[in-house]
Amino acid sequence: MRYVDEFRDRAKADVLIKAIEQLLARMKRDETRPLQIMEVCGGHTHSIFRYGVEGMLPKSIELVHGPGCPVCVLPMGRVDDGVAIAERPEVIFATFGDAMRVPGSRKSLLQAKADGCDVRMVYSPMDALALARRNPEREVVFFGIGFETTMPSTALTVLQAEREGIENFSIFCNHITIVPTIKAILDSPDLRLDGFLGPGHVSMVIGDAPYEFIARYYKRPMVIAGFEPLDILQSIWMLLKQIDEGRCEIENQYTRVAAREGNSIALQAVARVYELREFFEWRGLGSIDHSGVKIRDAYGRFDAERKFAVPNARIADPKSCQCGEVLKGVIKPWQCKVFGRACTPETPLGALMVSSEGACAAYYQYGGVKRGRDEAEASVA
Amino acid sequence: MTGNSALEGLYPFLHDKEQDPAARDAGLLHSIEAKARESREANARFFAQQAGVLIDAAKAHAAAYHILWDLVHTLLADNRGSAISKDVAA
Repeated sequence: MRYVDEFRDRAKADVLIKAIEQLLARMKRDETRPLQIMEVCGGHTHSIFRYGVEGMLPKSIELVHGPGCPVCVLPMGRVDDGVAIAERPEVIFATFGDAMRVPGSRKSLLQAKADGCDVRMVYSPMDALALARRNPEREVVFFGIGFETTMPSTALTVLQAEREGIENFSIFCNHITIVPTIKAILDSPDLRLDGFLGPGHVSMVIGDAPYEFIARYYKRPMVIAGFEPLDILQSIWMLLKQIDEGRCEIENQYTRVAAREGNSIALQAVARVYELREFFEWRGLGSIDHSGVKIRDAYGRFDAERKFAVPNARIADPKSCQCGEVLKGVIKPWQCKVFGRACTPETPLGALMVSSEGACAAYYQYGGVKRGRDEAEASVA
Repeated sequence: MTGNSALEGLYPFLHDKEQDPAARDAGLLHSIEAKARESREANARFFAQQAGVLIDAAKAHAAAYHILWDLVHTLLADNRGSAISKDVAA
């Protein structure tokens, strides 16, 4: 397939790996610790494990898996709120598939569906709007979830509903923004990151200007990266080259998709429909200022939180679950006490095991359990 | 509305007024100097005002150690004719 196969070419991957090794060999750096590169996006995490990118890299490069999986960072309290809305008899609750199995404190949306709630999987908010058109006697609520990537499609759906005068449609808005979260990560004393692989799809919407503070104030390089294995390898090489040359810049490897100035039409829709929340709670990372959006008063009739009373409770994660430490890159998924035992993709305890973009699910699916145990045994020996 | 103003709404912290780096560095330097001066002056003032009290306290400490030393010495001296010593002698 064009634009896919050429980015999965093993021979080209070998050339890039050799170039990375050569760069590392001549770089002046602290040899007592590996270079830590955070891939911000869950899509990157998935590709890294799917194609074995981590295993191809020299041991002196450590990939830290960032918080860029919106399903993974959704706190239990918000899932409970969603379930509470879905339990209303008049509601059809429409959601993307990967949010169905995220555990709440009582149940997941999938369990709510098994209990008789009308929960339906959709591929787009426009599918949810179509449900509202077909079911005028019901209230259709779309579970709005995702970063700047999916914010515009939800916003445009709200604008479409307004144009059509559809009143039985609303959004349970859990959209979040990645940029303040990168800042929170940079401010965290736990981490000593050397650079970032920037989120390609978010950048397609917002462009590269919002990341400039990372290079200017935190002196860390970032390369906006595509999602195929060669994209990731080339981006790592570009990052190392910046470090080697003493540069800190925001570079774009994913130019075939992400334009420098972003998508102004999408941004205008976002600005029209949403306003910033003072703060939003992230699973494992806590409350982060201005990191989530809500629907503006002008579109309040499309806001499920105003239409229906939701419990809005804050629920702590299970004590055994170490998603927060994994999200911050403090531990690897297989170092979590319950990984692969009590917590598996079939019976997830933590959200990182639910979504295919979650680091734990990716580790589990692509042989991480075995490798993790092998590494543990090797370190004991 | 442009894309730029939309970004400003989405990430207000990125659009706070930027300081001139030279002015920021000068402010930082002034702050460090003021803190160092204040610390030196506070030390000097404290020792000037409390010199007599500090010397008295040091003398009291020394006297307490002398008393303690004398006490230990006396106890050790009294133990020379203990039961254990007598048993050994017998």
